[in-house]
Amino acid sequence: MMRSRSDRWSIWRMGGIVGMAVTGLLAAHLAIAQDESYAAPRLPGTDHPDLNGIWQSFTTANWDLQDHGADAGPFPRQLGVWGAQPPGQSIVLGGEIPYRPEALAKKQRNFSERLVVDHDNVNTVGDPEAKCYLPGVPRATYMPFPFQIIQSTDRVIIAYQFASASRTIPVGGTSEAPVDSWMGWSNGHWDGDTLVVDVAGFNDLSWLDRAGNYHSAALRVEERYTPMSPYHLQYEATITDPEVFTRPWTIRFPLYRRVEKNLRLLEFKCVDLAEAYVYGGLVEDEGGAR
Amino acid sequence: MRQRLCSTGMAVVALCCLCGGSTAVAGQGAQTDNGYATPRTPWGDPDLQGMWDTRTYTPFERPADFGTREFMTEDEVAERERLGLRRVISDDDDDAVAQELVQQDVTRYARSDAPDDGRPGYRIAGAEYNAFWSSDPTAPPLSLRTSQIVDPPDGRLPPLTARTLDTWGAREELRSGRSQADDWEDRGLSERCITRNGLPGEMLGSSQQPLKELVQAPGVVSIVMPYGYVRVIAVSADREDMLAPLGSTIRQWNGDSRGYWDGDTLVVETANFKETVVNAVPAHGGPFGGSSHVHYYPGDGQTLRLTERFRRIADNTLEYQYTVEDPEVFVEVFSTVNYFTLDPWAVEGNQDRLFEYACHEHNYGMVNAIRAARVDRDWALGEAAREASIRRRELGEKREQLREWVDTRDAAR
Repeated sequence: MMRSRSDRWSIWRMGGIVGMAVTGLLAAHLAIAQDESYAAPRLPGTDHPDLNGIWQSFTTANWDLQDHGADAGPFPRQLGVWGAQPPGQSIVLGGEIPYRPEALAKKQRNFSERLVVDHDNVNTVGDPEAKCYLPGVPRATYMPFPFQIIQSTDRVIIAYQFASASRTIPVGGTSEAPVDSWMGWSNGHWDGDTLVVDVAGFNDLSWLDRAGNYHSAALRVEERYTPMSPYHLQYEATITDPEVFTRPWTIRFPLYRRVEKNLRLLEFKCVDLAEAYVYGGLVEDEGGAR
Repeated sequence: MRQRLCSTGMAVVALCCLCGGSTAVAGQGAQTDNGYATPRTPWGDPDLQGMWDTRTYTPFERPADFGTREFMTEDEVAERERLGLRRVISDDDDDAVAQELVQQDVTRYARSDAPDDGRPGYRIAGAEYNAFWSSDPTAPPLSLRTSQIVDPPDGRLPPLTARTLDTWGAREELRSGRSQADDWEDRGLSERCITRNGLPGEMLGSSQQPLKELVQAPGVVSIVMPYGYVRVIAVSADREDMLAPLGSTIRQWNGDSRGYWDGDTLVVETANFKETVVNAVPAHGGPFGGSSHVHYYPGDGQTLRLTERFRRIADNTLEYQYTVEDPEVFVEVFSTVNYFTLDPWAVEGNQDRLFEYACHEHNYGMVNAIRAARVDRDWALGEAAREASIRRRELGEKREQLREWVDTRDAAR
């Protein structure tokens, strides 16, 4: 009755104890070797590749989508290099995000106020990540946390570890967002072996990274998930938002399969970890009742 | 417990809803084969997928009148219908519902112009908010069950242990002298947007959030919860092949769930619950009582074991059983049975997904609560004391329940 995870996984059973770094290197080599000729196993009952699994990106794009050097981070005196920004190359094709000139000023203000908590504007000032707010799309994909794709015959669920965020992606057919949301409204379809997800219906509250890159409620994202080997997917997202950018622009990076034995998506339901940050200022005035 | 269910051999007869809607119903003897052939996914697992209405009108604990009787007669159900014990909120007349909401808004605004009569929250009528969020054109089916709890046989929640009652008392001591919102931890987990009711309570729907969506992949069952997360459960072909349990130092608000197939039944075992999660008792109010704003699960989640069983017993019906074992907290194990029905609104293509919850992201209420408690701390202290007095009374009642249970047990020996 129950198919065990079938032949295609036998290779990772053997390699189950291979560490993430090694897997990453392996996947990178496979990418070069196999490129677009890779034929992914099909999800039973469908003609589509099986994208099921726990995946994670390994970029530093959550710090900054664009080129960024090593930096001390916001609290070097308190945190040492725990809080430091690692260096990383841009994941934006062409390197630069094409901001409208007036929009760039807001990005810079976002950065300078990234760790400001304003209780009268609690969800419009400061990086939402620090407050454990839903990360939005595509940021959820390059947060340094794993996520799980649950692919059935006509829908895909993506469960993200960060903030227990999730998306439901009906595949085939299109519906309109009833109202704006943080994670947007996703509609999927297949383009060959690529799962294409059109996401719209965003609010204007999520950010794209800690550098203050942002979007408006006019944002549309087209994501493309393409299997490149048993261990990695190519991820691409094209961002269109005429209120903030002069033209559509695209980010691209691989997603790596997490292959550790006995792995599951643990909970990072971070609200209780963020409350002192979000609300602490409200109680400090009296020396703290805590 | 399973043996007992099996031995009932009772069939719950289909029952037509009196109030519009096409509902029929749920149930059958739990372990008897009703001849239903569970559909399969293309990869061969029992197919439990769909948008399930998880509400129930069956009381959690059995009303004393029914004694140890597990099922009502149809006459008794008809009588309850007549008395309006089951209400349907909408009659599918969208215009009328909309008109009523508008009227409620008008009334609310009219009230907001009235002079402040000194009552806190005097501008908020309440009903308009609830009516809006609760409107739902469908009604869940009735079961003939007299209570969700089927074990112990009296259908009542087992008493809390003496040790737990002592812990509860100690927590009350620690809380004394705090206001309703000296800080965020004085509010409940639901208001803090951490968990709604916790597991297994929030597996059952409310009028606000009736639905759960089950989506399967090979080796995985996911349950999209309406309260901002997805339960992702690795499911093996049998119990021996389940994922190894998590180490005891990893504790999660919703525990760690691992599943396996027992024939056509999905069995999910959950442990590693975080301390102070409001779970184990459905709906508002854990063992600490719903009247208070702080009702933590009284145990250390370390010893809590939840076992759930999902079985499709008809195309549109999922039988849902769970068993709670926590010897530190409850004097006995208890088990419940409920029935989920495929949501006809979704089946007709009118709702293709659950909408984002985003509770914490818009929790202006927490900022306001903390500020308000500082604007008038005496009032906030007074309210906290009033709530504490209610909890103390509940604590006394729980101690009494335990005494009665012990007496009955000893008498039976």
